[in-house]
Amino acid sequence: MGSSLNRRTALGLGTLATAGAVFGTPAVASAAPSGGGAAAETTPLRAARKVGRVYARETAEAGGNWQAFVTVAGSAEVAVADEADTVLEAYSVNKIAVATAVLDKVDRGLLTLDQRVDVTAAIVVPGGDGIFSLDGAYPSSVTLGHVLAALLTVSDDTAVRLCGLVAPAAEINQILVDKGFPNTQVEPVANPNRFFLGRSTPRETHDLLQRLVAGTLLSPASTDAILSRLRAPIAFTDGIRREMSSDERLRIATKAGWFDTARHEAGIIFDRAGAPVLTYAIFADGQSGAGDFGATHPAVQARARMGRAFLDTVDALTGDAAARHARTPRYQPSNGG
Amino acid sequence: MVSQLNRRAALGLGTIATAGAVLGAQRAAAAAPAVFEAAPLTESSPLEAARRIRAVYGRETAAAGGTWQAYITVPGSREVAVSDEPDSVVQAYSVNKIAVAIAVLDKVDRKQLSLTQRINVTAAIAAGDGDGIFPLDGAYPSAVTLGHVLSALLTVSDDVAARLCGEVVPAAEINRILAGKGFRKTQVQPVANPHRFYLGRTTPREMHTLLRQLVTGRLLSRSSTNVMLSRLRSPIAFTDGIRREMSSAERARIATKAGWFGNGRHESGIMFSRANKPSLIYSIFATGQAGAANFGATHPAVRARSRMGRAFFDAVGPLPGESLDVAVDTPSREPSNGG
Repeated sequence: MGSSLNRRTALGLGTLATAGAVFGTPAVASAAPSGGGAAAETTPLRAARKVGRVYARETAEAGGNWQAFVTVAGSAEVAVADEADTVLEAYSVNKIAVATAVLDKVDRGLLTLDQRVDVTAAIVVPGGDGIFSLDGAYPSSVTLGHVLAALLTVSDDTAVRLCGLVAPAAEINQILVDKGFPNTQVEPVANPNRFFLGRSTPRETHDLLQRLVAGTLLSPASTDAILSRLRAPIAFTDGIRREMSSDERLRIATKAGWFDTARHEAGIIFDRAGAPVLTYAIFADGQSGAGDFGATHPAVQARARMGRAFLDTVDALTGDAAARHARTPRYQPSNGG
Repeated sequence: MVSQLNRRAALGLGTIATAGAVLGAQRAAAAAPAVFEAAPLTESSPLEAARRIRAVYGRETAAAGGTWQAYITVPGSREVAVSDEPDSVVQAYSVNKIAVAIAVLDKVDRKQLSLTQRINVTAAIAAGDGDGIFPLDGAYPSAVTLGHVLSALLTVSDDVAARLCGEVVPAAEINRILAGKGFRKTQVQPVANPHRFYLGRTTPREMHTLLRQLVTGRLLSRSSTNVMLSRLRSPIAFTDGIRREMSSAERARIATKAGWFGNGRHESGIMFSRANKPSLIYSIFATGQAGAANFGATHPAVRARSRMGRAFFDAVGPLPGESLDVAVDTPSREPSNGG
């Protein structure tokens, strides 16, 4: 646990007040039912500090390596800055960056969301995440809008390749550089239309999300194209959004990533009026149970507890009024007809 | 609590051994953290597993409140694990997407349809409320294979996909196919447009029988059986209920379909043993709990199912499962980093 202590010191959390973490006391708190909620804080600064404490407690409990950048709108202090400039493998969290590049081309009139791409048997990633690999029947001819829905909700790996057909890896990277994200880059391979998902830093992923929601990254329509999918009921629910009602989940735009020992998640919590109030970019690797990509992985469980506590902590705050207010998604189940 | 006592008595749960449930002690147990029962892996027989599952079901449904109907069996057990108003005709909601898919695949088996044929996802057919992925596209039309439609239908419970199925199998034909296979109470509800329907009704027993016939290869061809099971066992099938407290490998051993609408929260499916043989078939329907507007993970009935799922899985864990004539594909999923 020495490293946890060091990390906590680096986080500025001190050792006296939180010494319990090192000696195991918080394990009790974090094992509380339903992921340990937290009381609503009345000021952004107090909320940021509590978010920092929750993060420190849960990451120490889960073990492994963590890097993160988390902010609360209006707080003079950053909630969590934990090795925030480390360049790391972003895995599927970088699907947000890929979607941003595609939508930038839409905004410039080079692509349209209703243009179609072919989902051929050859392009499908066998056994990969998402929906297209399940189809077993090809080709479909789907709109870019459908590709982005698959990419950003069920984290479809074939959808990544479909994006690569209309935005080659080099172009994606140039767009991201031009927008100020030199460390958020996909990794080119021999085929110019394919790539590994590449790298980012906690700070850059956080900033990308903040600029997205502020409306300074993409057009309003393209901003909504990303946020409506990341806030959908079928976006990731095992982590930050796990211990939540359907209405609460709709207030959180989230994208997770997982590969090998890594378990990541980045997103935005909105206030009840639709203004962003908390932005998180959380990257973890090296916990036990690397073969478990389900809900019982220690880092995913830690994020589930963080998510509930984060939402509770900021629930009484008003989000960033300067940020463009995102349309609150409407969700009503259907019985057909 | 009187009605719960009666239900428990009807379930054969007795009152002495389980009096705690009625008097509230069980409520505390059911509200305990995600530890569940210590699930000792000592259940050595299907019968013991069935009895354990019955006790868990009785406890969790009593704690959650509301109305429950269910039929749950452990293959090889001479006692039915749970038989709780199994012949009640219930609104099945999205659980009946299993039945819709069976009608489509029956036509595939009879060469009247092909999984590679394409259907247009138009703005008109994607309009309206509902679950799934097609409503999020915001850009139409796509032309997708029937295989893709079934993926959307059976994993993310796509409501547009149900309409797309209706394009190739009208409501009346779906009902005829189901009746022809012996499912006279598992029927969609026709509307004026012959290609549209409400998802209609089933009974816990019929949905259970349907799943059992599916997994034993008596309902569809081998390839169509695997079309169903591969999707229902995928990581993106429902994870808030029975499969919630599980690793990815455990989830891959459960084929599941949930349904939710109004105050209904349902889920039906099949658990597979390590040897990939069916070890539990469940068909669970709940209505009337508190929090009807909450379609997330914190609804009491969904929470109850998440506890049942873990306990059921542990109870049947040591069992070999039922031998099958049909070979069920083992899902092989591997996360990708692109490339």
